[in-house]
Amino acid sequence: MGIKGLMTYLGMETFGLVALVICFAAFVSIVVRVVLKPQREVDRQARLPLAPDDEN
Amino acid sequence: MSAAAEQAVEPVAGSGGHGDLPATGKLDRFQYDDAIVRAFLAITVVWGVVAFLVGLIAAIQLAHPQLNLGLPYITFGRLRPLHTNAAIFAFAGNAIFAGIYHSTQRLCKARMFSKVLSWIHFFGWQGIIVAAAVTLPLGFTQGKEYAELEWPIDIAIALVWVVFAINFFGTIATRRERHMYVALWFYIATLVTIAMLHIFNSLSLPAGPLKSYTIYAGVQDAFMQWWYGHNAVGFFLTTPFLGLMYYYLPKAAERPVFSYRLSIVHFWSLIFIYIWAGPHHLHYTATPEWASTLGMLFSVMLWMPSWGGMVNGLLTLRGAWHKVTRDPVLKFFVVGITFYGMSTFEGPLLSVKSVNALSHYTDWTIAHVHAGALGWVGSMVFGVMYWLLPRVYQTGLWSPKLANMHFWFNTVGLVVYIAPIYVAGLTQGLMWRDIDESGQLTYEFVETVNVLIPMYWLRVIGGAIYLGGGVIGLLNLIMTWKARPTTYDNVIIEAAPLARTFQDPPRPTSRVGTQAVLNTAHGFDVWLQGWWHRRWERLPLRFTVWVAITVVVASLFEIIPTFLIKSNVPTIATVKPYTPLELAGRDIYLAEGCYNCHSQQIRPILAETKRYGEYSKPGEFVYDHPHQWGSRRIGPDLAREGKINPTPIWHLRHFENPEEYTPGSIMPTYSWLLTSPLNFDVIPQRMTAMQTLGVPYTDEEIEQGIQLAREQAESIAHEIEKADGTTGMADKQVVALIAYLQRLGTDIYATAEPEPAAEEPVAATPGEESPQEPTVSAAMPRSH
Ligand code: HEC
Repeated sequence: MGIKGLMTYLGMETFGLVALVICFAAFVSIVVRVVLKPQREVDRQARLPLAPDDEN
Repeated sequence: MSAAAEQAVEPVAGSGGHGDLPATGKLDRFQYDDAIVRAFLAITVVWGVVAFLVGLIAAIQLAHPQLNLGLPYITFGRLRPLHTNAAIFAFAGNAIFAGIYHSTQRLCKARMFSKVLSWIHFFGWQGIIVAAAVTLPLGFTQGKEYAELEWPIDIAIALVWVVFAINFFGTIATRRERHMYVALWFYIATLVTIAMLHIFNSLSLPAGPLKSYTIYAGVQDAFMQWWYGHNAVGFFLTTPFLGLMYYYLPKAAERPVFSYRLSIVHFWSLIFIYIWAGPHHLHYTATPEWASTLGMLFSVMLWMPSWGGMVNGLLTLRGAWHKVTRDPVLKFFVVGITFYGMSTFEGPLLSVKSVNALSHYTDWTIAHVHAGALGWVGSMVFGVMYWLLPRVYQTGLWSPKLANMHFWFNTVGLVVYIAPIYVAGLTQGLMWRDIDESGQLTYEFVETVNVLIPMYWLRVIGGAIYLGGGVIGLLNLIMTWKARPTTYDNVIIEAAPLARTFQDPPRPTSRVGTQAVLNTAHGFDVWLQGWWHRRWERLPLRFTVWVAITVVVASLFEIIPTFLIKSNVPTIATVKPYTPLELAGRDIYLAEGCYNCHSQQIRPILAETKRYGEYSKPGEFVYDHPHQWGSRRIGPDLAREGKINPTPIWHLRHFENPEEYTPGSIMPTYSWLLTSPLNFDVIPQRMTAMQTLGVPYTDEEIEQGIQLAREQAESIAHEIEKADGTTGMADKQVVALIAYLQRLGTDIYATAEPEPAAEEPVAATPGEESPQEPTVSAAMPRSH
């Protein structure tokens, strides 16, 4: 069974499901991490565009 | 980086807080390169006015087709790609570059990596735009929506993009601020994804200096095309502008973004979800069911990031709303962000199948894209422009009053444009599906067009107002530029270089108590503390690689099965390659941009099969490089035109003057097709290219290509002469196009035999049952 055969055998649902789960897990882990980011760090990073020396 | 611009000076007090500033470190002195920003900014507004103007002319032609003055070059089918290309690549593109070149230097505390690359990028991009503006009206096109440009220009785009990427990543690599602010992430995602989309969608085989065929055929081409089309909206018209929003909105509001955390979530959810939603452009078409369902699911999930982003933007202004009433920059941003929220709410809605069944092929889509393009992109561009003007030209804005006026022209023009077009879309969609008590379609196609004309005129007014706004903006830019100082004051910036070796903060220890837990729990807690992601955020290379992996993986999951699962495109034995003359006719169909007004894809919906005949099967398109399914039915679907209108003379007269033949038609006249000679000589070359792409032409057929084409042309010309005495058509373009139209959709009715089906006279028997789907009637209820 070549790759076409294999993919046909597995069917599309498998691919959709696997990809969905991977993406979802990765996404959740990032959200968790963002929520846990220390506030001080967030505040400093959020102010980066406001650095005074870059006017003009 | 130029050495002159960078020199070490004695230390000033360190800004601290980075964790990597040696206390006695030297500060670099350097200057930002704003000349390149000025160049991109000015050209943005110039191309913007051009794009709006071309759009306006195209809009007038839909209400009043005679405006093309009988000239092929400015006829709707050629003008519309020019408009979309100008709006997206010239107007939005240059605006992105202006904003990125300006903000990246500031966020990185570094001058652009290479002045030479900056200017190659600038002139290269403008050269591409000029090449597009010349080739598209001349009819050189790949016939792929939003990717029309021919192969040499496609190669130039790829090269210029690489130059941009080197320049951008070079700047990131030499930055003096450890943390990459979220705007930079959005820029990185743009750079990586657009490169991937452009390269894979544009893969094609040249068949001449300005002619090529995409390597993908039919369903697969449609799939690639909308994978590209959808994601280009995401990564050319959304992510870069979000990056700009996250930079310029805090700047203009003079306060940090409402929630930096939310902006990070916004970023990743877009990256994870957006790529998946592409197939929603193809609901009810011949794409596999699973793909469009998955696309729909992910599209609905897109609501999450888009509303998060909108709320984040608008809440940044909390406590600053009094400023909004005074500052045109903030006004533009508020309208822009609101339209971002609205159009990204509407997008997923349009992907819901039942909504899509109504909206697809109608002006609803046109209204949607203009809410996005004028409302979100346009407003953001002009907001950024007004913020930049006084700063990069180092003088006051010439007229804040006019800027305010521009804002109102922008907003009113936009609303006057989209409101009637929404109504037009709904009206036409409902009329198409309307069936009377006797079970027949209530309206002829052309009736559904005629009711739209008043709305088309309203759109013209809206577009004209929007264009007026653009002209005001251009005037303000020119006058501000005129008031610039004789020499720009090049502010010297001082910033500490990043230490070569960065000490990561120590890996955190587990906070889980010493109770008996598995080691994994400790590991998990360490991971939870997010120290690893903080490392990434500093490491541009790794970050970029991860973004790339995310979009590539999602794309692969979406694309590979379409190519590899056998059942996706069941073959139909009677579907044969086009004859040499039909192929030449198809090339004319592409060149004239007929696909801008006509679809070739009948969905399995009752009103549609009643109007156009048997619904389209994936197997019917296997030789279509590229597919011509289209996305808007300004004219009727042509997928079964060979059965609907089989006689050459009908087409000939219709091309000559559609209005006379179908009163109320807004199809432009194509009288030049009756006089322009057909180039028979290129036929073998084109057939060879098709053969290379897997279309089963034999070498013999190719060798005889010219002769076969001439024979078929003679026979059509003969039929024309028999019908009304018109002579001399055998070597004109029109016969090739007629041959192609006569062939469309007829193969599935042919009985399997070795000869290509269309070599025989096509017998159109209304009411004939399809051999594939005997339950659906192919009866044509329409009269001509
Ligand atoms: C501005 C949009 C527009 C463009 C561009 C356009 N058409 Fe049309 N076409 C229409 C409209 C509207 C109708 C319906 C009224 C009519 O029959 O003229 C139509 C009708 C037709 C019909 C008759 C279909 C039927 O079954 O009744 C054919 C065939 C056709 N067009 C072919 C073409 C070809 C080939 C091209 C490119 C050379 C083209 N059209 C370009 C708008 C357009």
